[in-house]
Amino acid sequence: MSKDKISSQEMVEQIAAKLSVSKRVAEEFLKSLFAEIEESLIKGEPVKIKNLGTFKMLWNEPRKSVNVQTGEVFTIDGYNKVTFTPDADLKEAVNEPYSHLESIELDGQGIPSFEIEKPNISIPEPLRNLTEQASEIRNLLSEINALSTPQESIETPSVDEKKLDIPDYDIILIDEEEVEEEEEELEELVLKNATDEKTDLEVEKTDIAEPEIVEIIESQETEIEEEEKVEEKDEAEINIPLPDIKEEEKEEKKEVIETPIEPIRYENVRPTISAEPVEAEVKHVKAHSFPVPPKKKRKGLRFLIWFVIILLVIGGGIYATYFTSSCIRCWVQYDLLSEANLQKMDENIAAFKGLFISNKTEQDSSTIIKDSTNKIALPETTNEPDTIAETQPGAPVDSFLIVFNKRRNYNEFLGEEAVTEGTRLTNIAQHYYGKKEFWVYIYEANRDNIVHPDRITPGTVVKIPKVDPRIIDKKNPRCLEKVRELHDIYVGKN
Amino acid sequence: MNHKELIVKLAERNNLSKPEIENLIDMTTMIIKEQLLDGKIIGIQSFGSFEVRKKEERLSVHPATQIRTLVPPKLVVNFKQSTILKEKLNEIKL
Repeated sequence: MSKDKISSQEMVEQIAAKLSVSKRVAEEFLKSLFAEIEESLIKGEPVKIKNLGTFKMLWNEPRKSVNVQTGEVFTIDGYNKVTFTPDADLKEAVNEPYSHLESIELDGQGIPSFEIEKPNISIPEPLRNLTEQASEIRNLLSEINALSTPQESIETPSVDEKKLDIPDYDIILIDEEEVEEEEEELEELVLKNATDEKTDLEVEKTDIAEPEIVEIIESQETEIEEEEKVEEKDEAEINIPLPDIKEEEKEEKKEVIETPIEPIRYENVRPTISAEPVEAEVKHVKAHSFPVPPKKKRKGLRFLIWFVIILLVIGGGIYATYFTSSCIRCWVQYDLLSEANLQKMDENIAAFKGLFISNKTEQDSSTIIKDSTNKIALPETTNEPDTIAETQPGAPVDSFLIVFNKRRNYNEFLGEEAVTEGTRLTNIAQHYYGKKEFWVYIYEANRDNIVHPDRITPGTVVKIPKVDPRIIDKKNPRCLEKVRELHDIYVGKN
Repeated sequence: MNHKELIVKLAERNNLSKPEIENLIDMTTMIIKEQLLDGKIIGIQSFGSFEVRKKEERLSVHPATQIRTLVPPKLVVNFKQSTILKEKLNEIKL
């Protein structure tokens, strides 16, 4: 880019030359043009010129500034400034060398780092949730345990009572008279029982039926005794009605409590007696099993956490490998493509040669050559089993695809273009083919000179090849599609 | 002032027909454009100069979304007023 300055004099000359007007007219015109613009600007009106842009006068506010050397603060006076905003056309035309560039969101590139961040940021939340859940589960379990152990303690004596009461009850029913007789003896025992009740109960759980029966008989007898005592109290202490009533109520309650238990007892008699050791075992199992579950759950949680972490690591690995492999794949594909093209080309040449030879021998060359040139499908289909396999599943043979897949041989050139700084293949393509997407063909034709389509060294001469018009039809969406595929391959994207 | 008004005024000034003036304006814009595309500076006496400048690529951060975008380099037409014009404008304003 040479930064020559063109004076208004040169402008005048150019205008005069192009419009074949005298220089004077042109000069006057130019002067008057800018004078006019100036005048209207001074009036404060913006001036708009078609295809060029608008001139506008803006007031720059006075502002404070500091003298760098002395450190003095001084104000820069406000001033008027003429601004020029170019027309969209001009803007685009000027920016053409960079027109293909688009602003890129960098967060797309930040994906890997984001992936790394993910486990750090996003996982703690589920982890927290898990830990919270775990603590909740633990609390629940402890509650259940707390509930279940008293239940057990309640159940076990009741069960024992059930087990033992009913035979006792029978015995009691039978031996009530005896009981009455034995009252005196029992009174002594009652004292013992009162002291040893808790221990007895515990003993009852484990001990054999016989002593239990005795003890429970005793306990029941104590109840009877109490009743008797109450009766005695009723007889003796009529002065205190309240406790009596209370005691009566208690007794009633006891009866009430006993009554619902009784049917259960009857129901549970046989199983309880028969399954005594089993139940003990079950209790033991329960006793063991209750503390165990939380451990298991903790282990489960750990497993879960580890599982999640491992999954993430594997996912990251796969992601990384996918990225790299896709790049590799793309290059491999490209290589394969070029190889395939080479092979096809060779086969095509062979086919054509064969056709020519056969034509010469048959001396019907003119017609068959026409056929071969018009329908390139013929030699390909006849001589390439691979392409048949490829094309036949696609049912109707695609002439476009055939033309596209045919190796492009760049022998004829439309022209040459010297690369300067800022020259883009897209611009050249736009110029010659009418669509910038077709730069890929230029690149293909200049492979030897161009290392990478985005990095063309200034000074290289790019040859513009003559391309089959069928594959640079800008109205054909398939052309564009194919060209974009090529673009992706050459640029190295996926 | 728009394009048409400008043409009318210039036609009056130069004693030329409107289409002639229109032609001349089109030509000048054409030439300015061409020269700019060639990377040349167009200096118009006592008015200012047109120049194509390259704005380097830069990173921009969207203040609300914090999305960072790489803004590609671009070429922009720059107009710089001449000191004569600046003084004229200031005189009138003051």
